[in-house]
Amino acid sequence: MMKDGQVRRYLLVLASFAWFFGGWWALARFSGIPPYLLPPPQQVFATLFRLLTDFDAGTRSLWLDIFDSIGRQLTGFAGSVILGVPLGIICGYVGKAFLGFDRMVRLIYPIPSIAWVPLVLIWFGPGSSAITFMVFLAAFWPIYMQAFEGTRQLSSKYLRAAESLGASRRSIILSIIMPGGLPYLLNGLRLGYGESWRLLVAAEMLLATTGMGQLIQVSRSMLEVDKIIAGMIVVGLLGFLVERYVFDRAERATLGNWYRRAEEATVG
Amino acid sequence: MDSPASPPMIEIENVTKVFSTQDNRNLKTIDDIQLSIAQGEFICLLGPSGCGKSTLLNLIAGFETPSAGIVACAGKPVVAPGPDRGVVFQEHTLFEWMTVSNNVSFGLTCNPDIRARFPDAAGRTQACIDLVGLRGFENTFPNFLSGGMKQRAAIARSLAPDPAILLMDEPFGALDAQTRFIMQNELLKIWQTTQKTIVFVTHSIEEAVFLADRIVVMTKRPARIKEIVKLDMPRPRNINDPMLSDIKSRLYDSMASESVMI
Repeated sequence: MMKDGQVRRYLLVLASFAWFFGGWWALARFSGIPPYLLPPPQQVFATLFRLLTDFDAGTRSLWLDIFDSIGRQLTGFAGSVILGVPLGIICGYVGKAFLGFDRMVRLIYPIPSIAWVPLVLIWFGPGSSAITFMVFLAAFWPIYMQAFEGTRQLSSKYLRAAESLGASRRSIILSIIMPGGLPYLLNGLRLGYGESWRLLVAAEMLLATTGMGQLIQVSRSMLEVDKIIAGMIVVGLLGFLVERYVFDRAERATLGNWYRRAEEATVG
Repeated sequence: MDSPASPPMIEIENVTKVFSTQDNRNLKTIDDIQLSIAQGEFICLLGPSGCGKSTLLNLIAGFETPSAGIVACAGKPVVAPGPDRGVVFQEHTLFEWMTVSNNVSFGLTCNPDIRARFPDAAGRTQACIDLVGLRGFENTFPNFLSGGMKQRAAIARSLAPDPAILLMDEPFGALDAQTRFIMQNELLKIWQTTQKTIVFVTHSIEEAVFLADRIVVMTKRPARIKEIVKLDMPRPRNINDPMLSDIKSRLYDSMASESVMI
């Protein structure tokens, strides 16, 4: 049995799809815009289906582009997590000595990631390493800054409590800062992932020979609008799935336990 | 309580604390304080808001260092926070990501020396939880607890490493009157069972009179000791006892002359 609220939620999702595809279909059907500029949704989905199921030896499968993009995204993202989280924590915790470093980060941060493209192109040449570096760059800032902020916020309140219990440095970092800063950390990962996923597609258009961005870009030069839109849908869907099934889940598994229904469940 | 035979548990010698503010002025919060606290004594630091009584507590805790003078606990000068001095804060500082039980056991597992001192951390944790009356809430996260229960858990956490001294910074200030009264009684029971030396900061005369062996009345900033009132009455005390009323009205007069402009 579904609860009332659930039914309403599903209806809402259905209605939003109906609005979107209905409007699109109507526009394509009645506006007079030729189909090679605005193909109707059914044609785009037919193309998408064909691309997903086309495993002929002669053509490049869409799956390869998807895997290329995801591979670069994950590699670059992992790099910025490995570097950004410890750096943010150290700068937030140790403070003084690292404030100079933090200033520097904040000076570089306002440069839009996309402005790095020419430099990265010269350094790495077009290809996977350039894209991976761009992803790393885009994800690094939010991850570093949220780790920094989370550590800072903790400092006065929980650190004193931990220090008065005689906690070792190791214990403070592993049991206080890491879990205590988790709300910030997760937020940083989420922001960093979203930011870098967006940039990945843009960078692939400029710097790559494969990947989703490149697929979209090539389709433009061939005037295959249905393929462009199909590519956009795949990119959006992949971003959405990670947001929903990785970050939302991670948040619920951790923060959910600490705060869920806090008001209702208060006892005594 | 302060028999001449036992050396003082806390010795505060000519302590002054000066903070430099953001615009580079010097702000003296504590001025030449001299105080000796015996083992097992219950001391209340009473003074107007913002007078510097929390600063004095922070100096004993080791969160701050004195600008002049020495703070010593059990004969050793205080240089940093440590598990020999448990602290209970006014705002709740329970680790929100840990259950009550993990909060309490943190102090038993958070460094190698302490782990060696308490091989039976689980048993000790349970004993502390029982002591503050939180049995049954071991696996509850702090945000699911009421204000009074949070402070119970905080007290259990600070008691876990068996500190000789318990420092409490207006721990019941945020609680409603009834809960506060219950907690004051609980604290007295805990104090009598554990024989801790307690330094308790409050701005409430009623609270100080109900709890303390000695009340240290402080002046407005920079804080000096205005007077020390000794209460030799057994507990639990009746707040309407005429003897207490006399002391209360004396304290009111004493505090009134220290009211600060805010």
